[in-house]
Amino acid sequence: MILTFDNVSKYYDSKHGRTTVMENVSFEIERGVNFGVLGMNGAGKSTTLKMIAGSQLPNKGTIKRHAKFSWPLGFSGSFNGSLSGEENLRFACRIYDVPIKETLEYVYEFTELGNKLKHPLKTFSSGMRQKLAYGLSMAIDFDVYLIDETLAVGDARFRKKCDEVFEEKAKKSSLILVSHSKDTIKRYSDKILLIHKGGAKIYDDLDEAISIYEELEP
Amino acid sequence: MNEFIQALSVQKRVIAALIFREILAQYGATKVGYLWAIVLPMSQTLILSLIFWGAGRSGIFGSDFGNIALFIATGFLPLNIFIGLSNQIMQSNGANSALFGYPLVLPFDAMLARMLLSTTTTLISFLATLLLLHQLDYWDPDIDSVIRTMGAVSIAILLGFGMGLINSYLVLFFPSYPNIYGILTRPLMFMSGVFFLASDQLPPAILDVLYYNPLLHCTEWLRSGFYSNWESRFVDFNYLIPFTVITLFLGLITQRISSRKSRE
Repeated sequence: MILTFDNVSKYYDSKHGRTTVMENVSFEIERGVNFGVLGMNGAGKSTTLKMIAGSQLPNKGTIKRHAKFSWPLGFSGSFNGSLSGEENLRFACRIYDVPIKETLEYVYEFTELGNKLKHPLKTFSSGMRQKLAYGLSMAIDFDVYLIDETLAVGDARFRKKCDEVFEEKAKKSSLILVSHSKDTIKRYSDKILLIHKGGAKIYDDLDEAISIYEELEP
Repeated sequence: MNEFIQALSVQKRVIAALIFREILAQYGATKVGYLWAIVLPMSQTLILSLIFWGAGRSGIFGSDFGNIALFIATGFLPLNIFIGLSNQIMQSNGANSALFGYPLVLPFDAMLARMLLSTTTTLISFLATLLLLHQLDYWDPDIDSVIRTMGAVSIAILLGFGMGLINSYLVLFFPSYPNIYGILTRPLMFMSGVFFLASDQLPPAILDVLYYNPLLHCTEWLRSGFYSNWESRFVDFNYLIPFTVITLFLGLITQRISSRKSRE
């Protein structure tokens, strides 16, 4: 097992009362299996991904990880605006203990951002930020990639490049993928984790999970 | 046990990366960057010393420029450590929030990184001042006297760190708290013995009030160490140590609550 949720509960308290995302959820994810995460808007898919990554803690229960998990890809918020792209990359290399030089070379080549990487992050367009975030996460070898909605960024040519790299990655690493697109889910997943009304259930049969998902009501 | 050692090595790595990042973010904007952080407190000490020397002030440690500068430098050390730390740590969460998207980076690690960097910078600046005074023939290098200040320096660090932790908690509830804290701590420069010796120069009525300022105890203790021929009669460890321990304890508790809350 590379991931275990044991009796996990997660809720948010606000002025308008408590919003429950998960209630006493237990499941396990085995090595080498790709998971698609399905759920309606607001069901807590992103929160689940953040809990898997460890940037959010459950209110009750325990989550155990036995592999190197990525941060949730697809969001590009972990960069510091006043530092350059390169300096931000160096920081990530240091915390994930990967060689700086090779990683920089890879990201330069992959993102094709060139000298722009020497400029402060705040001068980057959102597309450039995404490219950088994507390039960085592909440069680091994670055992499990957590993906929130986006698999590819940029224009058509760059998207193709992303897809290729990603196919390559998917051979060695596992994925946990949140998407609204049935096609994407079917293409990459072996199993589906369906999140609904505070519960989470694993389905081995993709079509079964998708048809249940399509008939869900809020 | 293995997991614990692994966790420690990850934390060490993360803190090192954070220190690199802080140096770049705080001082990297200009070429002289970090040098400036060292020179600024030095010039503060030297300029004030010049003023006091010019005004013809004399103290029990002598009245030439070098004696006055050493006196002011040893007075600023605990104050600068405390002010630097308590402000840096107060602002740590705000300045680093983008990094917490990396699950490996915890708010407390960022604070530890800031503590190490801020303390080191203040200490380097102090030592640079001493070296400069030595170059100008005002100070006989005396390593022992510097080492004897370390007790008071440690207490100033713990005090500043604890206060910073409490501050970072208060900021969560009162966004304008940093301004208030800045105003509240401004008088500390005149109340912490930077420019005077408590036991020898102040009337008892004022001392009774200043007794409650832990930094004044720190400064007096530090100077007792630095000057081998002088011993402060003011320092009360029965006040300073419990005050520091309680501050640190409160800081760690509030930090534990808020750090968990921010990820829940």
